[in-house]
Amino acid sequence: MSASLALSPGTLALRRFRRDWVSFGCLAFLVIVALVAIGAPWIAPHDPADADLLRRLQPPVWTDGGDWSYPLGCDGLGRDVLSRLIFGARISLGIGIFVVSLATVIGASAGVLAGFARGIPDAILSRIADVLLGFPYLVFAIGLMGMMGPGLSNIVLTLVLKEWVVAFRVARGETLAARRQDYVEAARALGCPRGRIMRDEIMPNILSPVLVVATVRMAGVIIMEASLSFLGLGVQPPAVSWGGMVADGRDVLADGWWVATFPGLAIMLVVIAANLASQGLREAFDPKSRR
Amino acid sequence: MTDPVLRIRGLHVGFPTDTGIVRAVDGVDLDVLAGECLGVVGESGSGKTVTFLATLGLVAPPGVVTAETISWKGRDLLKLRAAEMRAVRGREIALTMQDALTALNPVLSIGTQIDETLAAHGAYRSSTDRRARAVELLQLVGIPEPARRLRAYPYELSGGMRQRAMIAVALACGPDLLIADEPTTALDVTVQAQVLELLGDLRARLGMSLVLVTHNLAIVAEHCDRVAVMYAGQVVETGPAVRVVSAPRHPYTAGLVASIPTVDRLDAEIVPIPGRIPDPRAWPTGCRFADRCGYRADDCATPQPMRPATDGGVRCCLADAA
Repeated sequence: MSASLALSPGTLALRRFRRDWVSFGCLAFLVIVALVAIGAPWIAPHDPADADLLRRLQPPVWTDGGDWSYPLGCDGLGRDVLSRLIFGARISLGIGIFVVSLATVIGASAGVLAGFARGIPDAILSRIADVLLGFPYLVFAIGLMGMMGPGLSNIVLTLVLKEWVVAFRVARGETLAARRQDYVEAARALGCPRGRIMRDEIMPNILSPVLVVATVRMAGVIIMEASLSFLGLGVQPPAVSWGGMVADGRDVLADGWWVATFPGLAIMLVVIAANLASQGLREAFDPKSRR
Repeated sequence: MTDPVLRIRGLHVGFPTDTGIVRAVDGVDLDVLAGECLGVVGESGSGKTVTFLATLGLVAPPGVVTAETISWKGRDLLKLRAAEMRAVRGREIALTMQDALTALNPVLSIGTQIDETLAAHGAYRSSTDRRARAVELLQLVGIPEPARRLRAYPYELSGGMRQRAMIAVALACGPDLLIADEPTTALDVTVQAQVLELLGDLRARLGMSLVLVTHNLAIVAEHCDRVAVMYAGQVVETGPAVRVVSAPRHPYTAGLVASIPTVDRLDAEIVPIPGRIPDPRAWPTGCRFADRCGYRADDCATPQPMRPATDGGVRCCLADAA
């Protein structure tokens, strides 16, 4: 027997993923950003809420008038852009990861249930999903946030409420295919209860597309949170979010380009990284999809 | 004759389609005796697999199952509640599917799949006990290095090993009847022989009954005690395996026998049975084999009941003399 005995298909996929250095690099970048976010209080050079109008719109270090204690300059209230960027990562990435995780767990469970049980549960869940899909995302989010008021828990609730549908549709579709497989019939033939079949036989088999979609949606959720915060419906000061920083920067765009540019860049880089990582993940799970 | 452990009478399975009801199983009577090996033979579409899926209550809607009785050790399986039926499946009657590659879950290790079956029946409390049982089972089915193979995934095993692993999963709870649906279809000939030998050996050692569902009459002659030949949703001939193969009474069985290639008749022509199985949406009222039969007579247009004989039965109007 070869040395490669006992490698699960998931392990093999991760090995392929590690060889794909672009996607792996993107994932590494996201992990680094996440670590920075976690260590924000220790890493950030200044208090992100520490305002001082004497430093108002101090430019980045490499331009005239910049200095090393505020490397990316200061915003319209004299707060350190770098420190705010670091603390902003907590909200942006935190909401992205938390919302997608929660929505994926809820959506995938509901999707497997609907796809496996069919009938009435499927009809009810699918109609709810159709209705939710009918709303344009931003309109849905703005409307709901407008009703509930801004705030961290409300933004999470709003995004999860819309986001679970994505995982639901993927999981349901994959389950419809998986439930016809012989191994499901074999499990039934050996007396496996339905709950166990869903959890232990079907779930592991539909996990890879669900994970791939979850990574793509993380990029989407980060953008949604940034958009809501940009519109003032997201997290409220003193909490910092990249979307809110872009909004702050818009007011002073003519005098201090750096205030809006750096959080904008941060959003862009994280979203691109998440998209590329998810593409790599898809190709690792399904090598045939490689172009 | 001992009482049968499994007794099927008047089993009908129909699948409604847009163009009519497909009567896949149409009045099957079948007995499985304690400790015996019963071969169920027939070509694709003759209803062999569906018969046993129906026995285990695995025909999914819109399929419709009716029967006079499906009695398992005195209990009528048709009257069991879903949870009771589930307890019978796997623990008392186990089924292995045709293709081991697709019947094993591709993303779970062999050990996990055995553990799964044991846990589903609450067979062992602790996971250590279940693991020990899993090792024991792999040893039983002749998989070398069982402790190591527990962690192997189906794609890492050869076809024969996969078949053995699937048998191990099926035997996990020590069933009294194992239904092996085409256990050798996807295997090459030498491995086929090994798997069949293993099944026969397990039957003797575990004292269980074995149903071998196959389209290969040669396998039946060698490994089974009795045989039931199915054609067009019905059993057309039953009897001791050796007698049925050496002296078939139904023309269809005779046709199957004539189409077995053998070494001692290398120059003999293999005679295929002409024609095809009739349309299962509209079975003929008379003998269902009449259109393909070389001995066709006038009586063949009338319905053919099973004619009992001392050692079985035959559904043919020409076989009365036998």
